[in-house]
Amino acid sequence: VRASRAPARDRELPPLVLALAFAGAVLLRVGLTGPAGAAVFAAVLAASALAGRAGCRVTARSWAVGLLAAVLLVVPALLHTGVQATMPAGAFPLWALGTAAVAATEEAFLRGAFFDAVSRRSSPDVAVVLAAVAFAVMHVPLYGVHVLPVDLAVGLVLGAARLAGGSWTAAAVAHVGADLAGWWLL
Amino acid sequence: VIRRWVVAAAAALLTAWVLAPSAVPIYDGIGNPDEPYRWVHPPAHARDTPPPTTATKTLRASGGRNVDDAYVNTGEFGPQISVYIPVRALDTPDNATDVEVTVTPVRSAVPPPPDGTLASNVYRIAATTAAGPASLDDSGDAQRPAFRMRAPDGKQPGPVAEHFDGTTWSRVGTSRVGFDVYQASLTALGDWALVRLDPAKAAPQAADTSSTGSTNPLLIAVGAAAVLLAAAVVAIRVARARRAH
Repeated sequence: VRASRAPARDRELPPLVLALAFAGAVLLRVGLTGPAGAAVFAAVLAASALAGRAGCRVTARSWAVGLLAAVLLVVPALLHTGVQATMPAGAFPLWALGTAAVAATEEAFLRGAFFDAVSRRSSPDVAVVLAAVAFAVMHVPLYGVHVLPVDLAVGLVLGAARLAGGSWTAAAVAHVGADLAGWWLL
Repeated sequence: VIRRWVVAAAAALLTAWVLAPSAVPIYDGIGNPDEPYRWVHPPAHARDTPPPTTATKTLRASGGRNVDDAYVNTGEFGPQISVYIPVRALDTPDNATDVEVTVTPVRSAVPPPPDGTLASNVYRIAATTAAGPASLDDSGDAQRPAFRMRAPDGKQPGPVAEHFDGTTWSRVGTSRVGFDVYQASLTALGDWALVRLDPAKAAPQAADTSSTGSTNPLLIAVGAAAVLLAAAVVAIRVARARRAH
């Protein structure tokens, strides 16, 4: 029995190892800056999500929950800033492709592998909070401390979407939807 | 549990937007290649571009302060300057109901900084109301305004932000926040530019806390070490699991 449990335990990465990889990815993103930094960041998170066995389960429920969460995320921003649409429409497709890839990778890691690892060791409640804190903190070097409250709240919404949708793909749909909508609010 | 988290998260989002709104960027994304820098006075090697743009934003005011926050971004892609004005950061005449913040590329000749060469246009940041000029609040009870300026390139060591008060240039602490984007506190309204320091001329200033370009290799090294350490732990665990089979 002991021998059969050991491999299973070894296959499950502890949250601390995932947190270490995440911290490294954030430092690399800030250090490298620009698209190269984003690419390395996404690559490290994708590898970590795979190593942490973040299964990709796309269901009608995860789509529905994700879209609802995206609307919830966008409405306050829309009320606050309105639609400015100062970004050139022609640059949108390429930007959207890269942004969607990075956002989905962030979710595969934070609300996928990391969330599952923390849930196993502790509880889903703790996983929602820790993933939200990590999400908020990782944006500070890029955008400044003033985004911390909103991004912490956004992280909680994405965590709730993960719970309600039953998979990190719900959070990914919400995250990508909010990011892409953000282009038109700028 | 799910319903509890949905309600809690929605409440947190509403509270965050009401108490500490963050105009843009809303969440995140990745950078896109910028258009070539638009110079007021193009250097010899510069490409032909349209002229640089002016940015204007009107904020509501009440009781002698602005009650809206806003980013005032010029129209280039990406903006050559983005000024963030937090709530209550501007002092206005008591009867003012609006304050207009403008960011204008300065076309008239400005004396060159003594410690280096201009690495950007000079931008004039002004705030006015129908009842008179507005000024930066110095009571310390509001978040300090800040701005980001885009340099024409990402050459390192990067430039620093300097303020011109009409007679002298003074450096402020500058952080590199993107490939070619630099951020500094808006310590005064008036003329601002990025200046590439000339080591022969640039005496260190007490107020200079520039971190441009100097911390990146360290961050990369520490980040890479953390990732490698995590990878090593994963490799050991995978090897142990295989051996146990």
